[in-house]
Amino acid sequence: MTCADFERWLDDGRLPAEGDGFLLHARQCTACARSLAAAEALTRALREPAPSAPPGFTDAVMTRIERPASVAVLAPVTPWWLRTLNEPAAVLALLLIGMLTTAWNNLATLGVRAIALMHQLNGGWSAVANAMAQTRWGAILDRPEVTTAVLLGALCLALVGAPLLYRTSLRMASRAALGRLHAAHEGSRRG
Amino acid sequence: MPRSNPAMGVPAATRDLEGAAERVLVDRARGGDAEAFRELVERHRDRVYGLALRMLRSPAEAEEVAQDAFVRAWRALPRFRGDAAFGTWLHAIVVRRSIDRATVLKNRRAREVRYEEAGDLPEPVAPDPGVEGGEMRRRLGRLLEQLSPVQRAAVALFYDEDRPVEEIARIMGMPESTVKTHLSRARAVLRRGWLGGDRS
Repeated sequence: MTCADFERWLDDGRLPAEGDGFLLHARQCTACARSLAAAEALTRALREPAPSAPPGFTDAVMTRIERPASVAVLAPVTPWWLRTLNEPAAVLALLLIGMLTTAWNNLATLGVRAIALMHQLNGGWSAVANAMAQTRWGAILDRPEVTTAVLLGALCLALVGAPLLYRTSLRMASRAALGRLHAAHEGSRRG
Repeated sequence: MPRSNPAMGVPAATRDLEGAAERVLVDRARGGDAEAFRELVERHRDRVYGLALRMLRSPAEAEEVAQDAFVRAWRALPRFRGDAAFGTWLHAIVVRRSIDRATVLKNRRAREVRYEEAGDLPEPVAPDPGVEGGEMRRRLGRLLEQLSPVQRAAVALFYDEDRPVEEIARIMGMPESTVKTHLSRARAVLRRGWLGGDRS
């Protein structure tokens, strides 16, 4: 019998029996005897009856049963999309979508204009510019499915990115506020 | 040794009669009879409040959670199939609510502590010593603070409620071996804390 065995025996909450080697060990080992006494005192304390419910408890429950039933059942539950729209993150997401869409339109227009400019300025490059306009940028970017796909991608990016951005900024702001409070408290203690 | 489990020390015939009476009350309450439910509240309020108090260590929080558990039980009664005793089902609600509340309080306290490391640390909300009685209770309360909400629930159900591990597993919705592990770890933490207190 080791002290570790004895501790395990106490952790398992087993009842002591006179024939056990455990009690023999407790008689010979002061530390384990103290552990046994502590376990016994703890069990006694834990078994003490808890206080009764405060006066008026039943009446309070019955009042709550009669009252909030109407509140809980009749109160309109705001749908998730409406709650989401109320979030600043949603506003941020919409702004991001707007910005990305504008940027995309500008880029596409700029690309087409650049190709046209190249076409006008340099006759030698016209063949290349034509090819580009027809095969690569111009042709590809002008296709409605590509534009739709890019816009959908931008929408997803904005929906995922904006809440993340919002939460990160919120966390940073609360950390900064906590830091200021900490500093103020530190200052007042020193002062 | 005081035992709060209604099954302890009660003759079998009386127990059966009480069980039958309770089933009748539950059936009536399930049909919307508020008076029958009031009777059920009267029967269970002390144990429910006691369990919540053991887990939350705050009379105000315990009262709120206990009341809330009864309100939830009332609303969920139409779905109560009677597979387990009403008391077991009710205790499962209390344990879940108390664990949720204890987690919220623990997180809130942790945030407060981060800030208050610079200054005075407030004592966690403790039961009124006049109500709970004595230094031993306060000491036990401080030690129970060190347990996780789940461990506290297991300890409260095992010692205070005197429920067998099998029933605790049903109430807490976990395997018996997990309940035994929680109890074993809780005993180790409490005993070490108790011994530490003795030394200091």
